[in-house]
Amino acid sequence: MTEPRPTRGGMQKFLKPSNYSSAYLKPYWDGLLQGKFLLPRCAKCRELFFPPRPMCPKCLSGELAWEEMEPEGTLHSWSELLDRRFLILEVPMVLGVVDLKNSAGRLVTRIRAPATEVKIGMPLRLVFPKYTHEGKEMAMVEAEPVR
Amino acid sequence: MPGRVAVVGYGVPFPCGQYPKTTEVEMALEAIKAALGSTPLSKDEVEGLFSVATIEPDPILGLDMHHVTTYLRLEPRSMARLSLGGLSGGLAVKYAMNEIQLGHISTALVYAASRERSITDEIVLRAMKHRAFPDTGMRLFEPVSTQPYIPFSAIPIYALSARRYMHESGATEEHFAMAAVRNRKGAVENPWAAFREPLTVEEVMKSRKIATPIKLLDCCASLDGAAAIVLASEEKARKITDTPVWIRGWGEHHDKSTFIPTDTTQGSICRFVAAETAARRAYEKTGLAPKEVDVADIYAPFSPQELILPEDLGLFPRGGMVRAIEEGETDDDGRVPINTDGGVTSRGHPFSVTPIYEFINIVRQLRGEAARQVKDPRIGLIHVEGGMVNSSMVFLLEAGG
Repeated sequence: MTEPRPTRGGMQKFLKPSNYSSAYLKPYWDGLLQGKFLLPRCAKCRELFFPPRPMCPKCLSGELAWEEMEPEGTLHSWSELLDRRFLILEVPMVLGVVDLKNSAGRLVTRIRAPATEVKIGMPLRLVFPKYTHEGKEMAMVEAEPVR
Repeated sequence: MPGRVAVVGYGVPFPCGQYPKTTEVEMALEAIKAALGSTPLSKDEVEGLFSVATIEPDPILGLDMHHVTTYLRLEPRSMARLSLGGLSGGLAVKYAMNEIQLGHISTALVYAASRERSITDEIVLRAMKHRAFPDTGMRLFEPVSTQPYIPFSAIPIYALSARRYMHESGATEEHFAMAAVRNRKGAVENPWAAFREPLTVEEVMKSRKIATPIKLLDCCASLDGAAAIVLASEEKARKITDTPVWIRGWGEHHDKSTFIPTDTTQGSICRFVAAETAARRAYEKTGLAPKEVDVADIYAPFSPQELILPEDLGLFPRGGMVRAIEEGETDDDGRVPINTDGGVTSRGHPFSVTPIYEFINIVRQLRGEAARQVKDPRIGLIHVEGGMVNSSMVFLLEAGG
């Protein structure tokens, strides 16, 4: 298992707490901090969706309820990023497209495994590593192979 | 039944490259002059002037076209500046066609001028000097607040699509390299292409890995460039030229995503719904069939998409591009020659100018005046895209006479 590395340079750039301040997103990020993968479900049409949006993308209702999901998915595709000019990301890093288990959507995130160990279709578990930035603790969502 | 519209002239004033010591407005003037020079029209006969968003002189109000009309003393009766990512140039052509078909104008000049490479370099240098990389949290494809790991760059996104295509079709990185090499053959003979040195599959394979499976020589290069085309109504076109190229029709579609479709787990990321649907609409509207396409120019920013897109466009069956690229079926003597003047990867890619370059390549082919001329083509296809092919337009052109 790869432990999250200290946030030198790269990662820090997207850990500005002000970037996460939209009110509708608060339950999502608070959930990650508690180790829970919460997704919005429309109170009107019952659509479950990811990523979170200010309103239901299906019926446009703004009444959303948050449900805890099993933090699981499968790998739809991946790429090993090697060029250090991908400013915001540490390299080398395996970036993956994860099909969420409940079909709510696709998560694009870091796969915590070397490129030699990833394979399309492999089952993945979501993990919520914590980072501290500007004195605030934040949790991200990443994925690792199920062993 | 709306009247027919033809492309009757074109101009590329200088090769695609880096132009740090000029302005986008100056480049636009040269492109317009070159395009007008290819027709008997005087500047006073330009009834419609259409372009795409530029950065200079200011990206907010977007008054660049007023500079152009001032400098050239033009008085168009219709003008518009359209912007929707990579699709912009295609939209400007569509707008011009609509204006002609509605009878508002009988001639139109569509131009694009971009210093995206030089301006980006200047901005980055300035920001580095002042240690200022403002981060508003709103990135190109998705705010960091919902999917922080979606990169700012398009390369990893297309790499994810490429890996999935390898999984589904059995394509290898060599197949992608073959497409880059095929494009380069066209660029070698294209005077306005940016990359004209011959290229081998081995060189592509050995080039620096950026985001696997994409390597440096699989990538397009963001550069500066300018180009223009002249459109006319049928009546006017007959007076202007003996070799009009008719725009038979177009199809357009926009899928419900920005880059990777994130709100669904249905469908594959190596199959572009927008391209597929736009192509189907273009064939339906024109009554033409995919097998009638004699030559095509495809907007593929990275070589893996050179294999994916022709399948989406119905030119080859699903997965069929793997064999087609091996057997040279898209070379200039193949069944459907593609990107015969360099394509996005070798021509150079000022994204807003690329669609105009594509029109010029196909017009030259259909007039029989291309550097790498395909034998007697009648129907040409142009594909334009924006996002990760989330928006697409497909134009079908026919040789006139």
